[in-house]
Amino acid sequence: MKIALPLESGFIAPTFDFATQLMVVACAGGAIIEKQVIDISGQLPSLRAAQLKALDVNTLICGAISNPLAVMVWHQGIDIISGLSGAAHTILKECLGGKLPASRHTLPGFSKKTWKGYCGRRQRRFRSGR
Amino acid sequence: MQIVEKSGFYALAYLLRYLLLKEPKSMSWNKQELLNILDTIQEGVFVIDKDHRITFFNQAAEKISGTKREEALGRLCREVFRADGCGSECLLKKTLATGELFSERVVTMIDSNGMSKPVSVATTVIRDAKGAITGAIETFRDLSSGEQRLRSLISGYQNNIITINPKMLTIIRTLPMIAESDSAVLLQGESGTGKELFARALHGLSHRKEKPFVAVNCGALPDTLLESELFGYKAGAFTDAKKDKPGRFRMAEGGVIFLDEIGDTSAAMQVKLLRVIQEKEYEPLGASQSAKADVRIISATNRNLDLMIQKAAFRKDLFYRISVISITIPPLRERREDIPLLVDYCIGVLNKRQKKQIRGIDDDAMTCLMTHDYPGNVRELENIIERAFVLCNKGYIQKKHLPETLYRGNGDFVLNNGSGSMKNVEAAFILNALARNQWDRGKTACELGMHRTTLYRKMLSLGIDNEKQSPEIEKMRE
Repeated sequence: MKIALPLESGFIAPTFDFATQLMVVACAGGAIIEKQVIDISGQLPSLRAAQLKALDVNTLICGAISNPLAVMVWHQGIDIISGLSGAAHTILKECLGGKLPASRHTLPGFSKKTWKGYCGRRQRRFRSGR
Repeated sequence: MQIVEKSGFYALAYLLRYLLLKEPKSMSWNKQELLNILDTIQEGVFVIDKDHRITFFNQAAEKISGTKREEALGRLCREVFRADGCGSECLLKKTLATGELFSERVVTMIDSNGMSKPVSVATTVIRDAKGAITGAIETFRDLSSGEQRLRSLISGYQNNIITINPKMLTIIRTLPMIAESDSAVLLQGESGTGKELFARALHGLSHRKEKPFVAVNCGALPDTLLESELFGYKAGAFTDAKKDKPGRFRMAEGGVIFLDEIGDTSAAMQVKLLRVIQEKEYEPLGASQSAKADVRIISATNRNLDLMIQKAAFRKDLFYRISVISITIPPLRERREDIPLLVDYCIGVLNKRQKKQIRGIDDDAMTCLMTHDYPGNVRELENIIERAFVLCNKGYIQKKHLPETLYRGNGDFVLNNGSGSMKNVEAAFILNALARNQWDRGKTACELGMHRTTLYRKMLSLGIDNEKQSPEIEKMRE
């Protein structure tokens, strides 16, 4: 299983859309097997979604993420846990422990949001704003 | 209130400084009154201390960011503001470090609903009585709401170029500079990407904006007709030419001529165009004297001119003349993040035009739109939404309102040639139904009007119990 986290100075980047680094962690049985940090600065949103797929990522753990990018990632069959903030290793540890990070790790204005990959049955609506 | 509106940003900074430092004791307003004033203005305002933690957050900021004041106070500004300039390019960081003020900088932020919003940002510093920097103030204005969004995401433009794509925004930011000059511009991009929109934007931003913008489709007319259309003719030039007719170059005098589909012109026409561009002169048909042309030439093509030059189908010298400045507009599939904005825009326009109350688009339908490749680009997307408007009367646009080709494209199963046996027909039918329902057997059975176990039994007998394991199924994919 592979987990990706957008990084900023060791913390989860506030937004996946504008993050400059991506940490990809391969893990099995709750332990980290391999860790790599990739430079994604200036990368277009559609490429970000495609890169996650190319890296075989199963879950994206991030802060804010725009709806269009979330749909692109979601459509690649990747689960998203969004609305998080705090030290990346702490959040990763809690996720690997099989639980969602505590509420102290949520971004202001957000509640933790989990989107199952495309095969899920979740129905979300995009509103026109009018 | 009037004071705030008139003196704008600096009045705000002064008020906030008073609130934070309680310095000018002579002011007659009390603290609560000033806070109320800041809450009534439409611009978002927040104040940070030297550690970038938020110490003040007004009501408009709550509304724009989707974050409540109680949650924002004490948090790092980048966690609340979440903009593309929050990293190394952070304006507040620069302001805190150097005292430099910034204004009217457009950045994109993401609100707590996941909506990307272009916002105009301004920053200033707060100093203590000794002049030392103690914090900074940021005011921001939402450019995405209402009319501003419909007109453009970049203020000052009259054209509906709607985008949050970094590549497109880079092009848009260079347009004012390009518009200032009189150099020839070549717009390249696939059909439907909005080349004429960019040409009109260049015209609207230039000093020629009061003069005409004349568009000619070079691919639509045969050579002889195109020549008379572009350069005009004199009376008696040919049979039935009873009086002078001004050409498009004459009509565009002092303004801009837009030569669309320039890649479709013949070799003879290319020579004539070369002369106009080079000498700024042309000869109307039947004229004995050349006429001067004071026009800016903007050309566009959806063809690969480099390839055409290699095949000797397009003149190299003409290419260099028309492409002093070359702009390549990315196709829609390379800027998918613009799709929700464009859909939103189209729905708004069509609601007004057709007097309907479509509220938006549902998740399944949006997924279809996001994953389509759009060979026809924005024009194709517009047509898809217009079609959906015909089929959908109210509520949300759903998948069923979209053309079937959108969700039956690449993943569709078809019969192999010469294998139209009953078994194969049945297998293809079931596979298509399964694909449509994301391999949910319950839903598929419901759609096919059979029991779930009947479907399961049929899938086993046809060898489609597991999509990826069966080589036969892979063969049936187109």
